[in-house]
Amino acid sequence: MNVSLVSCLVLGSAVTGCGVFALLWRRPLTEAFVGLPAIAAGLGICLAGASRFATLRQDPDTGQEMAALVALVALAWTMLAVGWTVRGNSR
Amino acid sequence: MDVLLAIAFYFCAGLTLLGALLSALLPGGSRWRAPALLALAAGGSGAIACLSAVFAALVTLVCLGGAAVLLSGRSVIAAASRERASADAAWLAQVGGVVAAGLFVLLAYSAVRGDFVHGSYPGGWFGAAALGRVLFTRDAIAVQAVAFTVLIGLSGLAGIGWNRRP
Repeated sequence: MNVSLVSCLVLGSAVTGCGVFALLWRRPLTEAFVGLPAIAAGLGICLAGASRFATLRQDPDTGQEMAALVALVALAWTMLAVGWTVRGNSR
Repeated sequence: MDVLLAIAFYFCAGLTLLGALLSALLPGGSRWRAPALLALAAGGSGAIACLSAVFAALVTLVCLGGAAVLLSGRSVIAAASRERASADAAWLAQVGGVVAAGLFVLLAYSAVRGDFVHGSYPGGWFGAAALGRVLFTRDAIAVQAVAFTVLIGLSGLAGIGWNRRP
C-alpha cells in the first residue's frame, strides 16, 4: 500500500467534482453553497500532494501555502454567501 | 511514505469522499448535513496532514469546520426552505450537473493515465516557520488579498447581525 501523486490527484479531483456538482446542481442557491467547502478540500489535497511529491525541490512550501490560502478563501466566500442569502431572504 | 501513514491517508480519503458525497446529495433540511460537512473538514485536513503539511491541515480544519458550522445554521436552512418554496425547475442546473460529472471524469482520467517523475521528499513535518517565511515575505501581497477577502466575508456576516437588530 502506497500513496503517490496519482492517489492525491484522484482524491482531490473526486472531492472537487462533488463540490462543483453541488454548486451547479443544487437548487435553491442557498443550498448550492455546500459545494464551497468540498471544492476547497479537493484543491487543498491536490496542492499538498503536488508539494509533497514534486520532484523539483527548489520551492517545497508553495503547495502547502496555497492549500492554506485556498481554505481561507473558501471560508471567506462561505461567510459572504451566508450573509448575503440570509440578509436577502429576510427582506 | 510508510504503511501506517498510507492507511491513515486512505481512511481520511474515504471520510472526505463520504462527506463530500453526502453534503452534495442530501436534501437541505436533513439533520445529517452538519455531520457530513464536519466529516469533509476532518477527512480533508487529515489527508493533508498525512502529506506532511500539518500547518496547512490545521488551517484547513479550522476554515472548513467554520464553514460547516455556518452552512448548518438555522438561519441558512430557513432561508433555503423559503427559497425552495418559490423556486422553479431549472434546466441549467441539470446541464451543470452533467458538466461537473464530465470534469471529474476528465481529471480522474488525466491523473490515472498521466505519468510522473518520482523524487524524494527532503522536507519536514509541520513546516509552520517555513510557511510563515513564504507567506509574510515573498507572497505578502497574496496574503493581503486573502485577508481582504476574509474581511469582505466578515462584513457579509455582519450583515446578518445588522439585519436582526430590534
